[in-house]
Amino acid sequence: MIEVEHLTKYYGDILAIQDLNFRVAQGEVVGFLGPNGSGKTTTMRILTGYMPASGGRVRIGGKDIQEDPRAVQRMIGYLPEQPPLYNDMTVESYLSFVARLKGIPEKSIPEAQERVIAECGLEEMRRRLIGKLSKGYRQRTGLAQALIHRPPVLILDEPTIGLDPKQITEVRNLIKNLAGSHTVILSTHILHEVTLTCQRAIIIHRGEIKSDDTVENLTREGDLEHTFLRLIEGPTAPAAAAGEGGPA
Amino acid sequence: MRTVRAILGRELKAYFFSPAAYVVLTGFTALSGWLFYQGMERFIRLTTYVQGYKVGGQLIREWTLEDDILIPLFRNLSVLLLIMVPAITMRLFAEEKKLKTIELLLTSPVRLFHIVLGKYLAAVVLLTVMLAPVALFPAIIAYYAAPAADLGPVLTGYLGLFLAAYALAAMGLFASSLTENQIVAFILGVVLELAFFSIGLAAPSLDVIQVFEWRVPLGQVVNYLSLGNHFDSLTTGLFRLSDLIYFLCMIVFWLAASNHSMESARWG
Repeated sequence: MIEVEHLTKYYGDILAIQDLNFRVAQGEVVGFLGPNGSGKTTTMRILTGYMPASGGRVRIGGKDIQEDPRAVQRMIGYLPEQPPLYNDMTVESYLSFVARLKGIPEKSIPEAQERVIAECGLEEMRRRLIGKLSKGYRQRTGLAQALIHRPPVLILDEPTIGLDPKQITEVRNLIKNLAGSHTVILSTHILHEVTLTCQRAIIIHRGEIKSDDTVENLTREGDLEHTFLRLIEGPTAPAAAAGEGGPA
Repeated sequence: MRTVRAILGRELKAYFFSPAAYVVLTGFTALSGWLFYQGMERFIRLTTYVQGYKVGGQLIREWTLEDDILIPLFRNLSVLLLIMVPAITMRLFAEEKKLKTIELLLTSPVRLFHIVLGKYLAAVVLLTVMLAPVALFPAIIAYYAAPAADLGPVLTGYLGLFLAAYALAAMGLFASSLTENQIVAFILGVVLELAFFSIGLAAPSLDVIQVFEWRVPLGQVVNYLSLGNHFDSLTTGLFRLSDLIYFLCMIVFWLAASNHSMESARWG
């Protein structure tokens, strides 16, 4: 479903990601792991057509993002790190605005709106101004926005950041339910989350892929935390660092 | 076209569901009313002392309601636009960048130019609503002095206000596309608009210059580029195609520049 070949991105002289190669099969849920500043967000922004790559190519559903950006964008639901919400709109009017942007036919908009409001548990908040919502509901509205056009591919940048434990569980369950019918890439620096929601993890560090393997294989020799730290810091990682690299 | 409508609708809601539109509309209407009233007062004072415009004791022309109230009013309003228009346009892109909602727009299956156009049209609608009540002033004059008034220059002057506002809005939109800071967008807008408004002032001191084979009359070029000059020519009652083309070119150019600026901002 998603094919990334030799993807490279420079910001001026600064190399953000270097020669990334990976594939994601249809219905797979893949975790994108890496410390802050490792290039996760950059990669996701290129996949969604937000910014062009400096080199390499991205094909989603067989279509090239450079050649036919709009066809690719129709297939993608994207939740950026900071949900793209207009504080002066109500949840309902925001979702119908997004529906129009995504090209949903006018008469199917109410139905699509109802569906995502139910899926994301926003019934009680539908007429509230987004600016007045709590962080958890803002995140759900962001997720609803990504789901409204039933995209086959979902790209979620840190979907559980800033949520309370109950909300985190809900969002994780929602993502698990999407597996199979949707292809999902989600980025996170919470390692535990990967073991709970993903089948496969791509570990990225300083713009390079350090590992691309199933979660099962990665956790075979101890927990994911040790594997992660070994990969990004080399085999001589001090034991003390392992304690700090926890779910924070 | 549906995207343009969706963006236009959202922007209008953002203007009218917040104090922004009302502050701008009230401010502009109050100020223009005050300017009209002051113009009337001045006219009454002038007409009681002298009959008309005199040079060396000789009467050049008589005072008229159009030339001495309405046309100066339109000129003043065009200067007021230089502040009001950037105040309206400053948020259009800067706010989206600041709130990161631009990521939603740029990752949706829509053409960038439709986004630019939708936003521009929202500013145009607000400006049209803002300028419409200005028609009241010529109406008052026409009602009380109908037989004497020559409304030709008033009509073209009024049209000029709209055209100037629309051209300035395209410039303001461009200023907004350059930054995520609304205050910076406002100041950039004022500076850019003022530069284009007054560039004609430099014309008399500019000579014809030689560029390779061509003789370029710099003064004339600068005069043609000046928004103020084209506006002034409309207030004299002259409706020339070249003025209309100038305003259309300005709109198209600055919309294209906004589009380009947003496109290049993508590269990070």
